[in-house]
Amino acid sequence: MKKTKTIIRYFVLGTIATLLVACGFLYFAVFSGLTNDSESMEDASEYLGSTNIAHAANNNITAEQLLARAINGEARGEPYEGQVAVGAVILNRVKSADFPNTIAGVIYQPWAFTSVHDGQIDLPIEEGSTCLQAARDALNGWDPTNGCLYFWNPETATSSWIWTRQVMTKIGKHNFGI
Amino acid sequence: MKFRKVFLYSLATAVTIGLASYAIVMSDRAEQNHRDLNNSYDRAFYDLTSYMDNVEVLLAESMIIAHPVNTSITLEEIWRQANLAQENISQLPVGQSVLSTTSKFLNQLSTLAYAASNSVSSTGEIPESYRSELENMHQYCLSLATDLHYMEDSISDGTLDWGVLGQTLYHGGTSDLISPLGDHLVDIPEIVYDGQYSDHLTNSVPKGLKGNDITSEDAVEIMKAILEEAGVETPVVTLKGESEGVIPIYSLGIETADGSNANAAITKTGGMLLWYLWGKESTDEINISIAEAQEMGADFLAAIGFEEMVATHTETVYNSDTGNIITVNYCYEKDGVRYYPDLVKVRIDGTDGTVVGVEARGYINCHSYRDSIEAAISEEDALTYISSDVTVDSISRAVIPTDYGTEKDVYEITVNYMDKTFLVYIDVMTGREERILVKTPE
Repeated sequence: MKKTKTIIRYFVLGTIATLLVACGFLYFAVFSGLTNDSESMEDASEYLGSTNIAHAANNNITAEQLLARAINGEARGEPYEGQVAVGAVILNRVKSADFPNTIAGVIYQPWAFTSVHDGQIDLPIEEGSTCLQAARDALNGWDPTNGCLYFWNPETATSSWIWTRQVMTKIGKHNFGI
Repeated sequence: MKFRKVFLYSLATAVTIGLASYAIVMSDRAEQNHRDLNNSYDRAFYDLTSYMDNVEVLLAESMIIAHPVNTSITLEEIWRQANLAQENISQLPVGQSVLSTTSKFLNQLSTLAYAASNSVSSTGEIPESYRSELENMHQYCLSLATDLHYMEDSISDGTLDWGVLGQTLYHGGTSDLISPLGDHLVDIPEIVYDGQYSDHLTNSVPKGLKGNDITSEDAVEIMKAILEEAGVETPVVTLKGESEGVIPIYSLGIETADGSNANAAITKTGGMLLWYLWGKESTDEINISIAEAQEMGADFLAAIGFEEMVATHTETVYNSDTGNIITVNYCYEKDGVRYYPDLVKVRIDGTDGTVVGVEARGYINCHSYRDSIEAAISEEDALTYISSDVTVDSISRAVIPTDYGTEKDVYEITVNYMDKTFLVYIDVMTGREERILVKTPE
């Protein structure tokens, strides 16, 4: 009888203590979730190592950087021609009436690019990477796709709609089409 | 023993409660983010709807306004608001087929209104052809606005989840609510006007292609000769494929002596170089000056068939990652007139002077014989059309491209204002200020 009482006492005390701890945790978690967004932002930038991103010495920095990040997210393992081609597709969309009219508009169009959806666009551009040069050449008018508006990796493409596009050329792992 | 049991029970309870509270917090946060995202989509939708309503009313008004200044202001407002409507619809996850039709309609409407406004400012009235196009567009605007208001009910009662919608459309599904949006817009006949998205531009034929059709073997030989001029040692050129498109081409792969790969395209008609690009690894050692690069590029272009090209702008990039590349823009010049549409860009390795890229789409699309035009306005008169706050450096004749595939004969006047160099373009026939560009330092 006494033993049971002791067990119950320990159990009740243990539970109360746990609840207190849990309440404290809950309070801080909610509190930080509502007010302290900057902390999570810092964590993210640390994880992404954004300080390593190479910057261009050029007047057109915003467009070039954004395009280079998109190329890095979509085609960092591709041959140079394939990297320029991805940049050219983005710029062909900017010029097309059927798509948003700015580089950021095209890149951040909902569901348009996998790398934007899964966060690969925010990966740091590695030292020695050719993505920035590829962005620059694409902005300068080089277009290995001859005017294509779509590209996809036939091995990993998840959108069934993309297969309705006509393939115009293949560069590296990507199909390019209109 | 008993204490240990009690401790384990307590620990199990603690872990369970801890995990449960964590899950509650996380799902609450996810819910919050989801709501924020849906809210920003809703915001874009409501903005889109109100811009469409405004455009519809403005279009109706523009038809009956009598004063040219008011007509021009109204048309510019249509241009602005249709543009904003396009921007908002392209932020919504409506799927590419819905976006293509609605976006094209709004882009054409806004640039048509802009072109009409331009005509009103020079002639005082909307040209008849533009007026009938705008009237036609008004009907489509009405039906698009009606479609949007129909959707509004589902958005106001919170039943539309944009995230789920985007996912459904991405995986090839349809939505009864969104998929019919802009269905009727596909019936719009082709619209031709002096603006960026005019339908005549998509069917334009390259003017610079001359000569006979060549075979793929010819293309390989032509490329070998070009690479020899470019300073590329012992390249192996192979045919990769061919492509029709606006400019039919043979595409070629090039393996260079150091084992790296370059690519190029030769036009099927006339065997001209459309583009060539070598992502050659370079160093940051600089042995070539800008002036030398400009001269080397011009000599190279002359040797491969682009004659009388003059350097207009040079961009130099020194980068420890990708070496140093000098990109020179050239345009065709004849009898002192620069033809800016006939653009060729040449990339030169700043270390050894090898030509590592050529881009000639502008030249191939636009280069043709042009009659020299007698200017209606003299150089002295042209100078009276520019701001009196600037100092004039030089004046010369040029031809510049418009957004809608035509060309304008202009005076190119280089001026200085507050230590910045600007290029002012004055129409040689009308004296109208066509364009002003800030000249970026080389």
